[in-house]
Amino acid sequence: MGSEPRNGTAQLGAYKVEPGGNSISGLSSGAFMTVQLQMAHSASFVGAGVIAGGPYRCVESFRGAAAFAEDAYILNAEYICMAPLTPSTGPDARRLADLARQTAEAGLIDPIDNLKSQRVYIFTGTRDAVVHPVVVRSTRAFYEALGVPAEQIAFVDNRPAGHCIYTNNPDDSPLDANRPPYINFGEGMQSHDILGHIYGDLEPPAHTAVGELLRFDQTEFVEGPFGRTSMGKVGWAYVPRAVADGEPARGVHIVLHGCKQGHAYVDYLNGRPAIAQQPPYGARYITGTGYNEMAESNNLIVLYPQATGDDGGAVQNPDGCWDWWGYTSADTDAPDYYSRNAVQIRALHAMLQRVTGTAAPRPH
Amino acid sequence: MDTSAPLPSLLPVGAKSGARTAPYRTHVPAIDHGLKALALQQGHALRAMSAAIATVRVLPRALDKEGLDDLWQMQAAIGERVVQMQRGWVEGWFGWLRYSGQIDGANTMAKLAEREYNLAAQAVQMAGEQCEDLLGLMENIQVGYLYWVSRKAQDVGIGVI
Repeated sequence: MGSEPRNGTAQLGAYKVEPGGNSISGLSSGAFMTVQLQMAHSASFVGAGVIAGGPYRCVESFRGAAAFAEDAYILNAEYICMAPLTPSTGPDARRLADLARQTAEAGLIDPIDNLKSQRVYIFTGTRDAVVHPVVVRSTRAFYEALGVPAEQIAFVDNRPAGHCIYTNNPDDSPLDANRPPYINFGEGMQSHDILGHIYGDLEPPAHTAVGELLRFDQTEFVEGPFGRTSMGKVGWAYVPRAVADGEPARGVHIVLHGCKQGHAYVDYLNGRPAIAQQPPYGARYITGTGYNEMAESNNLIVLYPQATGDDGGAVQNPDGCWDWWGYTSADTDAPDYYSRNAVQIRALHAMLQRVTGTAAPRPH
Repeated sequence: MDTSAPLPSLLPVGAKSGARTAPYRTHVPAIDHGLKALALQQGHALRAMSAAIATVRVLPRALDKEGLDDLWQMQAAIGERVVQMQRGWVEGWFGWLRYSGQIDGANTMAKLAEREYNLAAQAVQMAGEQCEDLLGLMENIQVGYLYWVSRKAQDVGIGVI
């Protein structure tokens, strides 16, 4: 269990968790990171949910976009991996699958064969103007190229949704909107669809999430300078009542928010945080997307790690995105945002190990 | 075809990022901004030149029915994005005009000054966003085309464009 909250923030605790039941999902930059984390630690997961995300190491599609690597990766991210004009100017799933195999052969990620038993949910809205459906289709092709059987992939591309996770809350944005906080009203809970596909035989969601919603300290999961990670100091976790009372959890599901969705996110207005005009988003993505209700009735622990924004500081990440283009890499010419060694991936996996009680004891 | 090999490129992609920090940073903001703009314009010019050279070198050997279809799709997609962009601009400026006509409620000097400032700020913001949209589309076309032609070059075995 976690320690007592101090200033509202507890140390993330260890729980009884049945082995072989962990999964991950994310939206947008969280979806790109979902693919990266799943690839890096495929032995730790049974499935993933990718909402409006592209394939692994997509930003390395075309190094020739600019003379300098960091410029090339940004250009790749913006145009080839988010808004390609056509399928032929979008990600090449076959090439990126080869790159993934090479990465595995180099020992930087878990063996690719682990993916063959995994279940993957992939979604793109037909009105998505941020990460175009062309890109997300290549994500499906990427998984297929790596041997995930087609029947284990749920590919949904028929909803007139913008760039969003959809919910059944009519107070959220219209379904076809492409604007922050990217939580849209879609007459259904996408989180339930994701968890349903990954786990299959789930109980219906609880009416109310009566478990514990915890704020935990993320800094302890980072070795080296914390500022370089672009992660928030505080993450969130949902622990179902029964699990908090000592029953074993069925698994842990990690939820990765997208850009401009972190709980402490504040928009930048003309390069300055618009704190006076706009309060931080708060826990809307954490409490309003339906994960907790499903977790409550199915004894799933949910982790909500948080990235944070920084414009012009140690990293260039004003929108608080997860790193899928190398901004955390110390050496931009040899970026390492995609492997087990990547600073964010190390931190995320360490959180999972802590919760499942599989982390090595910390040296004193 | 070896899909693991890097795509051919004219750009000096071996350039190390560390190498540019010294020449491009004087720590005098006005100069640094100018140098940064210059560097980005150089990149833009280099991509344009690469695209032109690649077109001459690669297309005669690589332009088959599929390639023509790709180019047609690109052309259509560009047209569609331009129309979408212009629609957004028109909506934005109509909104601005509507706001500028709502002057009746400005009954104090302070309120009038606020309204005038808002009008100017909205106009500057919209102009800035439209400039970003346009430059973004231009970069997208450049990068997308260069990427596409590099893949075509690899398909027909041209190692360096």
